Amino acid sequence: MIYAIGVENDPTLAHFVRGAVHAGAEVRVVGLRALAAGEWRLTIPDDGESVARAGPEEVALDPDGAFFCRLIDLSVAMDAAATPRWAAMLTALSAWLSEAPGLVVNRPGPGGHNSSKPLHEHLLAAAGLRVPPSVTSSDGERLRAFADAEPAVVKAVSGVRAHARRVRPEEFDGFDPLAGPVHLQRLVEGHDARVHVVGDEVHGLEIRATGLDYRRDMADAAFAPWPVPDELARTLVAATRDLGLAFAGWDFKLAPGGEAWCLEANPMPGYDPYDRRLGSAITGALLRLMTGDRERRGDDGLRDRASAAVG
Amino acid sequence: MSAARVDPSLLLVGDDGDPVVAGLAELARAGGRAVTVAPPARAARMFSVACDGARATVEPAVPMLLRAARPRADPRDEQARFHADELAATLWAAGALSPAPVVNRPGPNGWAGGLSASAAVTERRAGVDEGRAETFATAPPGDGGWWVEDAGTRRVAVSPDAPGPGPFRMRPAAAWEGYELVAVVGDRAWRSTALDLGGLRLEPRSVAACRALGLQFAAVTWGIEPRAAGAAVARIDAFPTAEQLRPCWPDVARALLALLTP
Repeated sequence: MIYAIGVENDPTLAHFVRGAVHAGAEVRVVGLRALAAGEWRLTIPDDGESVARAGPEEVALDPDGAFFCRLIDLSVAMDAAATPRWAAMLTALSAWLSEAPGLVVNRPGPGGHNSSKPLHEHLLAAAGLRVPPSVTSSDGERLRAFADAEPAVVKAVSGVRAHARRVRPEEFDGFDPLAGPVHLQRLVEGHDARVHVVGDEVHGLEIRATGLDYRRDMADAAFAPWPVPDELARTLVAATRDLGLAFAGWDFKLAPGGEAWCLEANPMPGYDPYDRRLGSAITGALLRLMTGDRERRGDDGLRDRASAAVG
Repeated sequence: MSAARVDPSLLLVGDDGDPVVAGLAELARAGGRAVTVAPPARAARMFSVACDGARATVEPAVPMLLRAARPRADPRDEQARFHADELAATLWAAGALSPAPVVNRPGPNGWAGGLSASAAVTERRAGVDEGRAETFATAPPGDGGWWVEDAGTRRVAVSPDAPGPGPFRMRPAAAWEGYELVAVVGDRAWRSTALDLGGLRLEPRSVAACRALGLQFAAVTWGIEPRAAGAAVARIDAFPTAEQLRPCWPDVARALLALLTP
């Protein structure tokens, strides 16, 4: 049994469910909006009676099943009265899923450093990936010096999604530290690549666009399958596993010299736009992983790694 | 003014009025140390973090006690929330990557080591799991004998009483006769009472639990069985309050300073 848990109008969740149903997999969907208004009972360690009632249907949760999870905190967009219930629901699901013996794609927690880009980039470099140098500071002189030395882009320090843009050194003249911090990263010229790792499978796409950040208008970008070099593929599979993740979306810049510069690893990748361009290869890999035998899936090892990554 | 030019010998990061920070600052200054006390937003702006390959540089590389992590922001103000996230992300990286002592040092996935909102998860990670179940539910238990916490108010009752409208977090009520609190700093620990608790060895067990969770500074509350026949962890706080630390504050403060400024 595959359980798909997430917000009802999340296009990535909907894409996964469509793909799973199309492939004939047995899927039960737990919509978070409906669940927040519904009922749940989750016990650790599981007592065989864990259930979620999202809408009219009660879903019995088998902890040995496979879970595709996209737990998104919408409480900031809710009125104050609804916030505690949403928070309690996410706390309950996160705790139960972190202990479930089945395969959870992905367990809550691991990859959390994606919300602190300097730490995230340091850890990716330590995992053996080529990562562009960066500086994070509220010191205008330091930021100006970095932008002055070589072309640089500015990004959000935290996990908030924001488009990268090129910066000019003079933007930091008279910089008010109260406007900081700012995260600058060395600009890498070249095309983009997106690589999805699912267990030990690797699926790459090369993306050619005119702008700095192709996500601004994906319709104008040209996508083509990218055969990920073997050594890089091995590094990504190992790094994904060591992060405690079963599934990750890796972003790269491919420099004209052929070097692949890693920009980030997404622990909850919105993979659907890439999957459509890969003929649903990523969904296929997810389904193979989630319906495979436990030894191949490596559930226990992943749970231990996830726990170690959190602890 | 340049934000990265402050270079104290000790940085204490806490919200205004935190008595633990105030007490430690007083002790450090009495010992001749240059101390800066800063709320998380100001502390975050003090740091520059440079990454080049696998080499990270944090400036200033100052010993730091982290008592608060995220700047406060109006949850309805999107811009204020974004700025608070940016500041917290910077302080997180500075704390995790600094070569100087940091207590409690943030980990790759969060601020408070392996602590979880779930007591059962925390106990397993701390190596003190005694098999007590924990249930999260929208309905209170149908029978008696459960500790029940209301998620909204954090009020606690013993079932069949309910502490609020729910949702609830529930655990089977334990037959504890009382509680003992143990303050932990590094590999040292102090009980809050002088009661005869036989051979329960709460201090080394507390140190071991905190080490397993990646915490150097914490308060561990133990539930004590009748006649001190046994003890189990009731809760672990990574940001102990002044009230929790009061019985052993002089020892705790000296140990914290020794850990931060060896």
